[in-house]
Amino acid sequence: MKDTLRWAYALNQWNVRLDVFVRHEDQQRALKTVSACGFDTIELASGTGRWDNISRPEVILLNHGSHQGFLDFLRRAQVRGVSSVFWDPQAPTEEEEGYAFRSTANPADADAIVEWSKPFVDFVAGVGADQLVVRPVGSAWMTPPLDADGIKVVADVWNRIGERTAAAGIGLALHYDCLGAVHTHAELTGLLEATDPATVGFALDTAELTVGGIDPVAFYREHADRVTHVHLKDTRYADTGEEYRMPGAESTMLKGGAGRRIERWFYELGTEGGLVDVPGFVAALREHGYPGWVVVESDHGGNPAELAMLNSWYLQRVLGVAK
Amino acid sequence: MSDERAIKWSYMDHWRSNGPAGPVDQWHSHRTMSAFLKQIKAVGFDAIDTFDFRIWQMYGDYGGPAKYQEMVQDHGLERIVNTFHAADYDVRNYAPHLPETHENILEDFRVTMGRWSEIELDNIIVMPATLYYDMEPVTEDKLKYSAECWNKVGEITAGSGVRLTCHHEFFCGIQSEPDIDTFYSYTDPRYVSLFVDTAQHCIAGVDPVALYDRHAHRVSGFHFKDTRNVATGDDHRHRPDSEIMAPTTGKWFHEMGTDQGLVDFAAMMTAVRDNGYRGWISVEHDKANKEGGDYSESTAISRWYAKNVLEEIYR
Amino acid sequence: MNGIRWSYAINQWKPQFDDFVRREQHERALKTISIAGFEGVELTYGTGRWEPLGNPQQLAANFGSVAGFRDFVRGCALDAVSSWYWDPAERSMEHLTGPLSPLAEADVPAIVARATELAEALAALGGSVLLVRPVGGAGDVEPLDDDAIGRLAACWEAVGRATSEHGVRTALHVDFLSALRRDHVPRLLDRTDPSLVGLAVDTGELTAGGIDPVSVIERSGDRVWHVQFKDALAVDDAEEYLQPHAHWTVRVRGGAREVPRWFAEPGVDGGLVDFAAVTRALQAADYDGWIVVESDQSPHPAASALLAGYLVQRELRPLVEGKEAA
Repeated sequence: MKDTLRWAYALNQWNVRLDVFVRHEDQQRALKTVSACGFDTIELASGTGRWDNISRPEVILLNHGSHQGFLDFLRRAQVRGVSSVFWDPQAPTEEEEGYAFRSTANPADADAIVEWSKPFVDFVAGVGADQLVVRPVGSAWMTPPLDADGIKVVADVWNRIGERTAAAGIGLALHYDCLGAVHTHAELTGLLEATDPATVGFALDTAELTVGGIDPVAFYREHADRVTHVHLKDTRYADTGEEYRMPGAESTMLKGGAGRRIERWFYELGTEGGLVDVPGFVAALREHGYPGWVVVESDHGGNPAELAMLNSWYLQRVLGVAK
Repeated sequence: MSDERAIKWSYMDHWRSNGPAGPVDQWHSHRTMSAFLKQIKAVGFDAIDTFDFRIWQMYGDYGGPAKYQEMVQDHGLERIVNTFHAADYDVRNYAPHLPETHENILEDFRVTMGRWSEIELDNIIVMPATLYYDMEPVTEDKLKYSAECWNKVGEITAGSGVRLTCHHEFFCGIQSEPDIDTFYSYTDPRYVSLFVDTAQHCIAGVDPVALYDRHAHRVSGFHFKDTRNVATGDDHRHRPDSEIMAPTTGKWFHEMGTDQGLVDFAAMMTAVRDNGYRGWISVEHDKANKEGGDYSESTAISRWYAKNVLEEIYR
Repeated sequence: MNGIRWSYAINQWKPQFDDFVRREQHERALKTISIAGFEGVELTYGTGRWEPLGNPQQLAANFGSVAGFRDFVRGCALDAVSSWYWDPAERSMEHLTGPLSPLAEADVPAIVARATELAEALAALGGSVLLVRPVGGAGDVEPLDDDAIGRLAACWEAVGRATSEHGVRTALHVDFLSALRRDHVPRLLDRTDPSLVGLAVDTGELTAGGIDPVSVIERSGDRVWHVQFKDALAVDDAEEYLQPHAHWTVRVRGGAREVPRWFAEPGVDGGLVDFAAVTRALQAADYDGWIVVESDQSPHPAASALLAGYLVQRELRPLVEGKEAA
């Protein structure tokens, strides 16, 4: 995309099950699709094990030999580079970390999580990416509500990792999602206040905020100085207020329809009935001269190629971005 | 991109997407049509081709071809370039090699051209023969009768400003190199053109580049698609259907840029350049959703290939 | 036939004209139906070389003969083709004919001849019911006056007489778009000879048409010659079926509400049909014959067949067998 904003596309929507999106030719097809849609930069999602070979840094390197080898792989499809890598330290990893469950909310886990960040920090820097995008805390349903002290425990972990990313010359961006234990506007603001603005930024995801009941445009205007990364996607639904606390909300709410027969939460830009004011949000980014990446994604929303093409159409025809 | 381009890309209308009750085509609803046109435009196609039998949906759902074309244009695409006339060939009443059926064929085209009269098409594309098994043995007389038939049809379509052009499916009666050459020797260049389908010729064992070079002055368009298989044995005359029922091959067609593709697209594009062709190339990946394939992805991959490989040769 | 036999409809495997053409696909579908616990398969009429299971001519072209197809079906461990669905308004490329209308007396001989061909093949395949669409959609034909009902009755009696010569019953399949929806069904039934013409109860179509299938069975149980179990996910309560071309605008596209899917396999989440109640009503009416389970269309045909098979095995067949044992 030829624009003053920097546009990238997230690969997570292709990797919908553990046994798909493993073969290099499938990945090439996805990369060519993204490229044909006008995006020359991608975001990688985190994962685990030898079948997450375009997600987990160690496995990527096993597949391609080196950072340069991986970049060469991308460039075969006319994808120039990587904007960012997503990492959730709460998600158990099989092979790399011995399937340990850890949480940033647990002070005893802090040292291990900081240590775990190393391969990600190294990889983000090694492939010339800009941001390590992280899930700052686990799901709300798994823990009691966080008070200010609890938020400080979480923030301290990220402040420590922020020192490492800064030292490596990359950014660290805390990504809000609609199930996280940092859920309300107050909790989110509290987390941002407890982290060091010099080293820890915010990854604003338009759909996740909307589902969580926070207006992404207003939040961006309030916190533009902290926003170092953007995920742009739409949703047709908002949490009724308590659904994120459903036991097993990853399944019962996001995959199980929250008892409301919602088949899918996340949608491509321009979807009918979308709740996100995408033009308004992008205009706000332009007003503030937002310098970071805008990563378009549709997050397991349906047919990946179709959604990438519809998102591209929206950028070109509705937002007026030249391809 | 400027309008200086010698080549523009049109998308031939095979398409399926996954609906709530199974696969649907883009004509399913205005919503699916819009999603189709958006995707085609997003990856940089300039226009679309369609099938004649879609005319009913154009009239029924959009108010006619002109109104439908307005919707196409509202999505940023130029127009409808070509239509494919998918006729029900039958030796009882519709067989170009049987002169007694010609009047029925001519009447079909008189009616058809009337239906399309509100927009300007470049080509109406036909398979110029029945299925192979309905025409064999393919004799010079049969080729001559077929040529006479299409000469008359071409005169009718020319009256509407549309070129009649022939697309040689590997399973139709005129598919071998000598038969194709004989057929064109009997047709009138004013009224009958050749439409080169890279995969179909390749499957029939004909080199599409050589065929194009030999008939370049008669060529009025292309279907660029790929294949991984050449027909063997009775594949081309398999009853009751070869295209999707031949025992050897479950899926004949693949998008260009596919792994293991047999078409030499670099040579093809070089020939297009060297013959000074200017105009439309249509991209097709007929039945892309067979065996787990996906139309959206095949469309993106083929357009990627056009942009990153073929346009480097000629644009 | 003694008792109830369970069959599954093939139509859900063919969402588009170029799908489900190859032999190996047919084999996989028939084996799936068999292992899901069904004895038979119901075919849907189709025409042309991409409809290999559509009509007797295509069966012969693909399997050598109708008997060749019977062997193929049995090779997949199914006993029979239970039934065949046919709408005379479908053209026939094999006969070079366009739509035939049961309202047009001139078309009746051709309709009878075509039905006879289907019945003859069906008999050879172990089947017993030809389902017919008795008349076009409510929005596509003139309102049915007494004279029209009389012409329909005459046509279907003639068809019933012809098919019965092959041991095949003719059953009127009234769908939710039919001009016979509501009160016209009994009017037509009342005008036909009960020994020649029966009724096919399609639970999904009736429910989508706002008609309780249990009430139809209670009222006309002695005329029920065929049953189709499919679930309905929505009801046409705005009477959109009265619009022209409702087959396309309402059935395919979902009408003004854009109903994403009208029908699914029995027991689907959100399904409106009470299949246990329908089964009990059939027992009360001493129904004897095929129950054909279908989903009509499906995003996952094999899954639909297996889920329906589970419901039949675990809930519905025990209801029937419980009574038969008692």
